[in-house]
Amino acid sequence: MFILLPIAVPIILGLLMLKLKIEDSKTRKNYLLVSTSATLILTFISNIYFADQTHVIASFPMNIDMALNIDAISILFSSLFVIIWILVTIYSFDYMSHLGHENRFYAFFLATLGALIGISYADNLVTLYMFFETLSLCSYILVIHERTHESFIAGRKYIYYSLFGASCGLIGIFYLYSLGIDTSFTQGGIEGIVCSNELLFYTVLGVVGFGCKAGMFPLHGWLAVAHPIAPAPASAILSGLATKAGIIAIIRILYYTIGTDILMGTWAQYFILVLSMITIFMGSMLACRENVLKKRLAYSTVSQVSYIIFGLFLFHKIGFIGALLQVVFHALAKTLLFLDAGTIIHTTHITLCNQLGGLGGRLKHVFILYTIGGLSLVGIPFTAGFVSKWYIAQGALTQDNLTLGFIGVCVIMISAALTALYLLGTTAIAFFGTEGNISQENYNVSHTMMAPMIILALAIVALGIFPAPLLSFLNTLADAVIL
Amino acid sequence: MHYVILLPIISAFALGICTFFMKFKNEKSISKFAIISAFFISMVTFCTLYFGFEQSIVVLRITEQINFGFKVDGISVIFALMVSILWPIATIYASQYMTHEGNLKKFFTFYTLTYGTVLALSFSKNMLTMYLFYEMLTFITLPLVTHNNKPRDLYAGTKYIFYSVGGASISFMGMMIFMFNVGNWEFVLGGISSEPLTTDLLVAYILMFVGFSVKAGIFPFHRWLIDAGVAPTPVTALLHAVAVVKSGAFAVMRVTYYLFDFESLQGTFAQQFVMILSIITIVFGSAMAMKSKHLKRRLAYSTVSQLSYILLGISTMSYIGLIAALFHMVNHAFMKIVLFFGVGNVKFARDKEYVTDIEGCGTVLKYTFFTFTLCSLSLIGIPPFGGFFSKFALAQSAVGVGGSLGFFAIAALIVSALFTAMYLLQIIVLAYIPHNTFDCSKLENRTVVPKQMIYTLVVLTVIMLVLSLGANQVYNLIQIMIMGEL
Repeated sequence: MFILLPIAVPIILGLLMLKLKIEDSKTRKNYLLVSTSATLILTFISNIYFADQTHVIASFPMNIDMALNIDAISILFSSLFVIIWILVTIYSFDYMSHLGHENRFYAFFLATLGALIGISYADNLVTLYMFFETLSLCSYILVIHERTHESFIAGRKYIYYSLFGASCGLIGIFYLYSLGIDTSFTQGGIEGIVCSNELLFYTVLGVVGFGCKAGMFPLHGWLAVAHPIAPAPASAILSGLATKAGIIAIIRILYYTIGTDILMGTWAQYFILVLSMITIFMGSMLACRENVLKKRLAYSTVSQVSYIIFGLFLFHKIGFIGALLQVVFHALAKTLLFLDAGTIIHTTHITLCNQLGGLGGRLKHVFILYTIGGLSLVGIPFTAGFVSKWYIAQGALTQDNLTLGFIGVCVIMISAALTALYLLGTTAIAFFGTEGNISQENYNVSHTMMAPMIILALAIVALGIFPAPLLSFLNTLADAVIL
Repeated sequence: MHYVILLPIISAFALGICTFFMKFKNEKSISKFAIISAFFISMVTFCTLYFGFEQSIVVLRITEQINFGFKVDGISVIFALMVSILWPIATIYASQYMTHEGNLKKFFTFYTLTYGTVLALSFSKNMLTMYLFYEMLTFITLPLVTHNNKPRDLYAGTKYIFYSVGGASISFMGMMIFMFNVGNWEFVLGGISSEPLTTDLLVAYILMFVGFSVKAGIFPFHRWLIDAGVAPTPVTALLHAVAVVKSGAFAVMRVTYYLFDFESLQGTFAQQFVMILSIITIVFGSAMAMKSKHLKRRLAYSTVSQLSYILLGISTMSYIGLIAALFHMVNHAFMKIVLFFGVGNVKFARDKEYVTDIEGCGTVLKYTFFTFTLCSLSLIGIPPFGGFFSKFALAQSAVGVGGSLGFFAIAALIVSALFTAMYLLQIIVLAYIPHNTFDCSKLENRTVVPKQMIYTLVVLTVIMLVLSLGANQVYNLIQIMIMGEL
């Protein structure tokens, strides 16, 4: 039962904040630091000492078990979640202080962490679905935090899309349970599943449904509306981490439930590959057209997360490693970029990209960090993003269907060029653009906001130059999963 | 010993009539008497269910075919248990709420009589007995619907009578066709005759299904349920979310599984017809609920939709369908009554009835909205709440039907769940997180809600949670009750 703790502790401690109503900001800071680090420690203890044991939490009728299990995927994702979470929490103290209603925000902020860890620990699809819904409901409160008319509209869009996506996934789950097989996740696919058109249809439905959280076309419409409207720390974790919940679900469906040998070469594979390519291209195009900084970043998420889906659906070892690398690196880079954007908005109140002219000199550090994040997303060597994109492209070219592989690589290249345009273009404006009519006061960025961003940037550079330890971990993982 | 079955029915009718003829000092003592009688009847019912299980008694035998009798079998245990747990709790709520509305004597007389009728309906041994109490239920609940005697109440009452009696007569035609073809209408699981189904019998089935499901609010005969929302909240909550509508669903269960050989109904046009009808109602009800801005009407449409979940489970014509339907019936009863009582508390406190008026109420009516939220999550079908499991069971039974109809059934369940999320989350979010322009001083003008009305909500929610966490046990219990040993 110990592995229930990393999930239960943040959720309970979070919801407790609604009851405690801590007024003093210092106490609140300590409370949050203690709860988040407790979650971090508990997660690491579980990951190290309780791996590969199935724990059935509760049994329900019709063979539904609420079960948790820690495997390599869980370790990768849950560690990623908690580490970035603690950085964002530290960042958020200053940012949130002027927005008010912090207790409510942090309550659901912590609960969201619990739901994310739950998603990575889930041992079957129903448990995963439960935490998925918890995630949607908790993060919904974060989206509507500012309580303006626009945020309510955005929140509504967010929750409807999320629930709809999860429901599509649920249809797939119904089908799977009606087959009457043991549904806990197994490496390489559950035994007893036979390929049929019906199965492929429900798989596609499930992937598209859970892919909604990852912003996959055609259910991507909410992302660019909901992420920018939330306060910056929430946008950072929604874009950087919550989208990865959809990825976990897709990995679990493909590699742990259906099995790649069944899906290999079917219309389902090509269909999703095409969808992900459309998303990659479309996300980048929309980002280029967008002038609002946070919206631009959100569209960038749409595009970048679909790299992962593309990599996963290659059903090839190298593509799979590339996809998981992209999970880690995109999480780091996008969190950094959103925190940066939040800092810019917090200090200057400028939200549009073309008004950033001349700010580069006055917020030098912020924009340097922004550039590092941008370079990583574009995929320039010596930043982390290069490694992941290299692997995905290599995977696309070494798998069986070469035509689709070539098209995929082309799409990735074009998208990289567009990414450079929309992310580094902003840097160019900031450093070399003409100064607009902005106030001449001195901008100060506090240390608690700078430190997390610097750590994230350092991680990006470090992983870009020394990716070997992570790669060897992913190699063992991929060897086990892909036969 | 067989007479033990009659005890709860007799005591309910006797206590109901006593309420009318006894002299009370004040209104408080009427409510006290009603509460005590409700608890007493429930105790008697529990004893009857325990001691009288699988016993039967014929009260009046006119001919071999026309006789009135009672028996306690598995399905009646489930139904009677659900009703007898809910009734006393709901009576406590009603005793407080009705102090606003007045005329307590009349109210509680018919309230207790309704209890007796519902119990009698669930213990009925054959079709004729059930039909008798089915009709009786309509007339005994009429004074409750028209409690305030205003024109719109009378209009709603007339509509209610018109629909219910009309539905009952449609099913009476079906009963007659059945009687002439089979010659016996005792309730036996799997049907009493093993003869192949003729077209006549299938038509009879459709007539009975449609006729009895008028009370369960099936499209296009759902309007009465919406208009009956003018009744005081305890009536809407207990009768129009639980007792009356579920009696309709219960009657359909009896017809489908205890008159007919339900497995031979599979794949017939009769099954397709009733299934399509329930699928339409599921989606239609939720869509209308989303559209309506009046709180009680929204919940009434939600009831229309949820009751058709039960009918959908029944119309899959399989054991798992029946079990899923019963499971959802029990879960829905506890969830929906909390939602109605929550809305009732808002009306009691602030005299407001529309969705937009609920803004910010979560901060002042804390327990009410906390319980409201939990039950809404269950109704939407978020695991690990009970609503999820009963919907899961329903979906499983729909998968069993197979084909495009099965798929449409699942799709309807999913779409409706989505709509449910929309119309309930809107209320919750408005209540807890008002817009930033909202003026909190608006909330100060309110009546204090009595403690009893809050406690009943908490107790019901606790029961809901127990049903959720013990879903396995509940499901097994229903399975044992229907199919005998596992």
